Amino acid sequence: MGDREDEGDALGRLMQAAQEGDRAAYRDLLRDIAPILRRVLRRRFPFLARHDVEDLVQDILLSVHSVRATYDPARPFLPWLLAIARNRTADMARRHARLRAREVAVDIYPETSAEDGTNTGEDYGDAEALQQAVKALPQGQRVAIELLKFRELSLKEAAKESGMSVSALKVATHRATRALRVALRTRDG
Amino acid sequence: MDTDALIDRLAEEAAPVHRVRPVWVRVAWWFGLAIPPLVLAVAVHGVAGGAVGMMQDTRLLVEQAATLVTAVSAAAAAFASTVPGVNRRWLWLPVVPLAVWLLAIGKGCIDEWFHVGSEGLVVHADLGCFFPMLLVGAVPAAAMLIMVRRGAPLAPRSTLCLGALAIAAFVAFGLRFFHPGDASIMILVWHVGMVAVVSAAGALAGSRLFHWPAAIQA
Repeated sequence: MGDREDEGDALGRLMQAAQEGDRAAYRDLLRDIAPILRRVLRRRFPFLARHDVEDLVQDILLSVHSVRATYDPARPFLPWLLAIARNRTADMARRHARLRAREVAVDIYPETSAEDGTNTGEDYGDAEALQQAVKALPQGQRVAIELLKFRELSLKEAAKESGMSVSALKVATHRATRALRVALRTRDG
Repeated sequence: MDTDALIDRLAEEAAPVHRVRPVWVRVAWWFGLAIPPLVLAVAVHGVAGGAVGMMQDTRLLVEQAATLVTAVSAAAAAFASTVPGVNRRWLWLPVVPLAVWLLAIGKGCIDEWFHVGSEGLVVHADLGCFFPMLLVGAVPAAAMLIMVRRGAPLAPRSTLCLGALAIAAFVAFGLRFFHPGDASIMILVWHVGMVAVVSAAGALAGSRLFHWPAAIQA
């Protein structure tokens, strides 16, 4: 009990110095509280993987950093720190629960369609024919397809790289998709 | 990122900070900012006739005192809710004065019903008090938002709900001084209605207006 109080007092003094701009004291403080947080988190969440605990420790350190002005040196340090830790772990648990609620565990992935023509394992068609059809597209349409579909850039990023406007990119992509569908169908048919 | 590297980065960018003041000092600051617009509104509109008579009416005095204590205690609870490690019982501080305020208004409604009959319970729209209400409420609202955002977003919905209650109670307290005396039913519907709507809006907007910095959100 006495050791814990002494530890809290020492950390409180470091935080007081950190609030006044002492960076070395702040570094010492964060280095001292990181193992305390790891210990608390491992005790509270024994099922968490090591990297999850570390993510949470970092999240709490960042939170401590953002609200360090709220520490009052007249009050004990550890309850202040642990209140932030509790709040952030509760947030994490809520986020985790939300994600779990949206996930559905399945043993066998469902087929995209029950038709005979699907799920044959050759869904991607002839890559060579696609490359040639893309090469045959007009310049603007080819650039749009390469940036948006092959490199999977966002419209904003593609606009920046190509110098085309977002709406021009949308139109070019639409026309290119239609042209490619026609070209590939003609070739197969 | 490695935790040690993160610690080094945080230490590098750690500038000195102004410590957040104790709760009651923050309440005093908030009132210091909220009172001048109220004084200005009273100076512009003049003191209402009912406000002078208020001193002789015990029920009205109790109602006004409870409204003011509701504003003070809700502001204190809002500020306390942003300090890590502070006892969560602070959040219940405004409950008793709020109950006294509502009881005092309820008693006023019953008294008027006995004296005037059903006419004493007629509610009508009074847009005349809308702009003075905005004038009195805008500064404390802005001050409250800025002041709570200096704290930690431990319970953003509760914090902003309590902050909104403080603002609405302060406005209801202030309106009595320069707005013509209303029947208790009007106070019940408009003032208490305003408190309910503003507090609910505060609670709904809580996590949008007051949250941990984006870099550390999921």
